[in-house]
Amino acid sequence: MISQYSTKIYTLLLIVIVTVFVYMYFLVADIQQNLSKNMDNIILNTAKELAQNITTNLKADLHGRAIVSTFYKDEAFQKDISRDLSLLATSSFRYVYILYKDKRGTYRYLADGSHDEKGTLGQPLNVDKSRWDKVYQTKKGYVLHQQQLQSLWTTYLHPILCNNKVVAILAIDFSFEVPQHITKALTPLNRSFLFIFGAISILILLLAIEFYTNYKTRLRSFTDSLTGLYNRHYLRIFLEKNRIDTYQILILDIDYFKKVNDTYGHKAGDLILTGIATILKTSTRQEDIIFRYGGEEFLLFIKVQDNISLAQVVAQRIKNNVEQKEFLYENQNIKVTVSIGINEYPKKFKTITDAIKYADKMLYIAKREGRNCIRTEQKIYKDNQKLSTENIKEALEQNRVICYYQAIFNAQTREIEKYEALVRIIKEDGTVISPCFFLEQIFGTTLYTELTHIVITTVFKQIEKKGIKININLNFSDILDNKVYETIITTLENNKKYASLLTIELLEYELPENINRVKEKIEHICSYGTTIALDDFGSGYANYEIFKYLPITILKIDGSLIKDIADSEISLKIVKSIIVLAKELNIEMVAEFVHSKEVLDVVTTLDIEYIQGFYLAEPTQSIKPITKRNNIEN
Amino acid sequence: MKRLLLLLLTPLISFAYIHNAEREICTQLLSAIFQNKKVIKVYSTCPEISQNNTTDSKIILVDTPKKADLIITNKYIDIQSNKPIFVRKYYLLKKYKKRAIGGFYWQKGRPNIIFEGKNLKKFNIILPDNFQRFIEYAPEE
Repeated sequence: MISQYSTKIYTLLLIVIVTVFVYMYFLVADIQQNLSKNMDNIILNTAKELAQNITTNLKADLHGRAIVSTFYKDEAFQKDISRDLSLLATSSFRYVYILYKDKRGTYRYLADGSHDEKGTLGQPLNVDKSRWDKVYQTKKGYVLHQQQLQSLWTTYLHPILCNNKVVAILAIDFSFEVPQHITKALTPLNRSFLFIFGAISILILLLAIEFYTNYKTRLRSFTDSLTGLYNRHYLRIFLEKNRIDTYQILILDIDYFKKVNDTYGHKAGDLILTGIATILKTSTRQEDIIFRYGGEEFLLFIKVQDNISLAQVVAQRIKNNVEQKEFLYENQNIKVTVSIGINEYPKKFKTITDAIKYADKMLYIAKREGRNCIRTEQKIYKDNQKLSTENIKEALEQNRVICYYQAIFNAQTREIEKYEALVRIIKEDGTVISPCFFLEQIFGTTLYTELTHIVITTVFKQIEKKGIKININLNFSDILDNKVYETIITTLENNKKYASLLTIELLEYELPENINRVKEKIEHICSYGTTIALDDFGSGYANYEIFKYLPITILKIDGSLIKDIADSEISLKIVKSIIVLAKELNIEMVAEFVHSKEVLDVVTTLDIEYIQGFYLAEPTQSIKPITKRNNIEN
Repeated sequence: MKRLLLLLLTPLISFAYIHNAEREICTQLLSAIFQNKKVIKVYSTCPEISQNNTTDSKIILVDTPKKADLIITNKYIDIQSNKPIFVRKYYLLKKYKKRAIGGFYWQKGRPNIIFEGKNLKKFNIILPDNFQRFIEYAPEE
């Protein structure tokens, strides 16, 4: 609490101290001015009194004689008066002299008591006549502040009257010594202020340096040293200080970044991270905020202005810019792509964490759907059938999770050989919901593990009951997920007797990075007699290397190839090549998506063991016992 | 503070100011004395009037009093010439009573200009109207 306000307190204290000293400085300056004025008055009063005394004495000494002629005629008198005047010439009163104005208006010396630059009798002195004449006119003393004369401060002019007529002027020039004395007396005080101001200036400078250093340190703690982007530490502060509903959220991940690191080294990885950060900066606006969210993950907050949604535009721009960019590392051009998940409506989420998680989920979908793409939640919002996590949880608790079964036929005999179990949720109103409307929401959660357990248990019950082979669908990630895997193993352990009737169809998207771990687990599953099928082979990442590692016994040719096999020559050729491969590897095949007679006719001409599709049999809740009657003709 | 600074700077500023003012006044005085001369030859003993710092190009300093149109001096020296003298100290007016046409000097912080009317006549020098007020005759009571 204290540290939070310490800067403000110090600043306030500093302002108070500076204000006090500035006030004191001006106070002292004011005192100095008053003192100077008072001293001026004291000296002036003294000068006036002295002038009055001299005049009185002079008059007395003249004994009624005319002043000017007396000075000219009586040399001794002139000398005496000059000597008397010289007694008054001090460091304060620099020049003391008597001038008279002749008939031509020239001011001339009668007597001069000055110790230097002494004037002689009759010598003219260039004075400011207009002012001196005033004394003659007013017959009053006059204080003349010298501005044009360099060495003099003030001159006091005292009229010498005779018969109420000014006959001469006693002038006293004040030297600069008086103000100099005052200034000298106040010099230590002024010097103290100088030191104080100097010290305060240094203090302010030190504080400024300290503040700048703190600012830099704080900035450093908020930014990622490699990319210069904000880090997660700042994300917390950003979320505390900003209204998130004014932003749209983008999460971006560099595709196959691990491979780049493994192939070219971490320096190349750093180069790409820095390059991507630069692209992000140049592809966004000043008001958009970018964070390095994880290793190769970036989180972007795109500012919404005038209710215009820019997230998709920005995402597309970033994706394009990354695609076009070639990173040159040690004479090798490295190209990368990015997958981007967007949450366009963060305000629809209770918390910002949920909103970010949702964008992350979109990113996951983008990655799962082949990477180098952008996925946004728009589709989901349009689809009212999507179930919320709460709905799914309720369905699990209320046993509304069921399996539909689609028959797989022998292509030659046209008889049902086995079934593929397809999970469904029954909504409270009885609507049957397909997995595409609920699986994504719970992926990676305990609900997903629970759902897997329910499916496998249900399938084993059917196997036990009907004595038939049933396939279930799993992802590689399910095998890698320890909880799901444990559920599979536990269920197999509990149903050892029927494990050989179970086939696990693995969705073929890509080869997992830790294939050896998958291999180990799959082999363990196979040790129960369970067989492994590879689903959707031929589309997406048709990775042949997978056969090297995994004990695949069945290959399900992807529906996208089968569905137009009757019309597309290329699809036919691809399927034929897959068949050659499968035969070579001694793997059985299933042709999915047989949706018409034309497709069936083509497929049956090929050397494919099993066929499956809506034309043959739609998924149903019940399983018919496999008999000779359950053939296609029936 | 301002006053302290002013006091510290005053001697320096004053010196420079006075020095420049003196040179300027001297130049103007010479032009007034020799109104019709295109070139004024001056013999000077004063440091403020030297070839380096004369602002008027028509003033030429010469090295002997004989070559000069006017002698400017700030000290009493034996001058073997009958040329008019312009003094820089008041007492020199008395010393060169017969040949001093005028003087320019500082008295009690004030610049003073004096022209001796009798000697101006002697050297046939006629001053412009604005300098007439500086012409001195015998002091009047």
